Amino acid sequence: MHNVWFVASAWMGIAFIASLISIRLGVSVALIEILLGVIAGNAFGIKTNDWINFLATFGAGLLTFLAGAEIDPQSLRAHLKESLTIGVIAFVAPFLGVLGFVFWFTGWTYQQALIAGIALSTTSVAVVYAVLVENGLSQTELGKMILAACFVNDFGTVLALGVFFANFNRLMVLFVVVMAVMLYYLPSWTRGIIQTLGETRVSEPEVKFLFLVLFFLGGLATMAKSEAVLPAYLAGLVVAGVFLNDRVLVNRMRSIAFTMLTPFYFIKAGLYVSLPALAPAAVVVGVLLGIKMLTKFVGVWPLSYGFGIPSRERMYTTMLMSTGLTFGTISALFGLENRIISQAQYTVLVTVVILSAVVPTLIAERFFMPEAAVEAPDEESAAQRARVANE
Amino acid sequence: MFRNIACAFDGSEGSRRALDTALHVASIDKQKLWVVFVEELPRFTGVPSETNEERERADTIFAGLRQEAIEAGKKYGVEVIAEKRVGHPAQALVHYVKEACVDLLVMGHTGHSKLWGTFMGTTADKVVRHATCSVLVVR
Repeated sequence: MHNVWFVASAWMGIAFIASLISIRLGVSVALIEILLGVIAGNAFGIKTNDWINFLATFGAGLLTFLAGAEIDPQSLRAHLKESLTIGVIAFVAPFLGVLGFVFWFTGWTYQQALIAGIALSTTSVAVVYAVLVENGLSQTELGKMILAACFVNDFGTVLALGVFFANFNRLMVLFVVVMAVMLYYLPSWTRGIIQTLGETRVSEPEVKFLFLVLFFLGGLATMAKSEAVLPAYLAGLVVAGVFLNDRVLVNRMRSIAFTMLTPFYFIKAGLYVSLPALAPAAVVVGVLLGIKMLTKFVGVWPLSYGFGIPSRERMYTTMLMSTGLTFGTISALFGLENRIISQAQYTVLVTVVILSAVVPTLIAERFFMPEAAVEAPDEESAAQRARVANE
Repeated sequence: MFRNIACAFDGSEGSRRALDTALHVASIDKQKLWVVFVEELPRFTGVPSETNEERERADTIFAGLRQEAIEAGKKYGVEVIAEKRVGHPAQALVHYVKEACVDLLVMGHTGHSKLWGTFMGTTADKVVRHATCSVLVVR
């Protein structure tokens, strides 16, 4: 099909159906888009083209930017020691574990093993955050520490993706220097634009400015053979303080991302999953999921113990740090698009990533839910109920 | 007869009928009525703000439903106290009745989707099976 409108309507149709299913099931639209992408690719042979690839790439970049921008800098500072230690180990342990397994036991090349290690080293901040909110832990010190550790973990993933496959030459130096200068001034530039031009202008100068920065830094990263998600995540991190005070800006950028960009990214991520390649690799998928969870356990559990986190919360933290979704698919897709891994290997990695979003969450909720969270009532209603009980 | 009465209310037609019945029951013994609204968040999300946006949306809906329940209570002379819980509706209601020592939970038979309930079982089916208190399902 060459009619651009029909192609766009087919993709948006899938995205629309994904939204409906997501609302009905109460499951993230990202996950449904990936699964519908799998069906579209395998059953209907839907393919990507240049403009879809661009929208998908920008979608991944914007998603990464938003993920970085959602960190609470104060919370990170308050739990710096614990979150830094747990986050770094939570990245390094599965990275080395998975890398070693696929390199020595499955015959993947070193470059392919690097992609596998990076893709399965992630922790899904979004999955963890949703679980913490649902269980009333998001505002507790434990919840804030876990979230901060997840951000550190994902920073490790993004850094590895941007560094391991880059060319270290003059272009890389140029990229690093320009990026460092721009990131240094980005918060004050963004704040300045908002203050000077005023908030919520119809012409949206602050959104266009941030897109300009993301496009430019993405261009520099690509030129240096690095990955555009690295500057996007760092840009998100440095403007997180600005975003904390301007929720309207966050909502607008999220609307743009979720309506027009991320559906293309997630559907595309599912499109390349080959169902025929999945059945013979079922054992490898299971083993890799086990390795990811086991290495996260080995890395995170002793540290949680060392930081005095109680037993049940310790297991809960460990399980949540084993989740993954967005950065895992970004890493696997990077490997596929740069011809580092094959479609069969991509299928294995994305399947493990999807399973890692679901399995550890279910185990954590079923077996290791901290008691205090289950019993925590709404403060106002608890007071009212106490009053009624005394009457 | 019942001292601690609660009603599950999500704004659907079924839950409106349940609220009416619950207010009637509460008015007989001049009891207060606890109205509970369950906020179901998306699971396995892509970015944290996905959860936040759903919460903001649910908070807005809850504010409207809370007001509606309080106004309805005034007609029966019943004091309504609204509460919000987060989680899977059936699971959250089962936890709620246990934790709040509810002795009667009133709820509608079908919520927002009859089709979904037909195939997957309604929230009422699941609550009746697992709740630790009496459950009045209003049809």
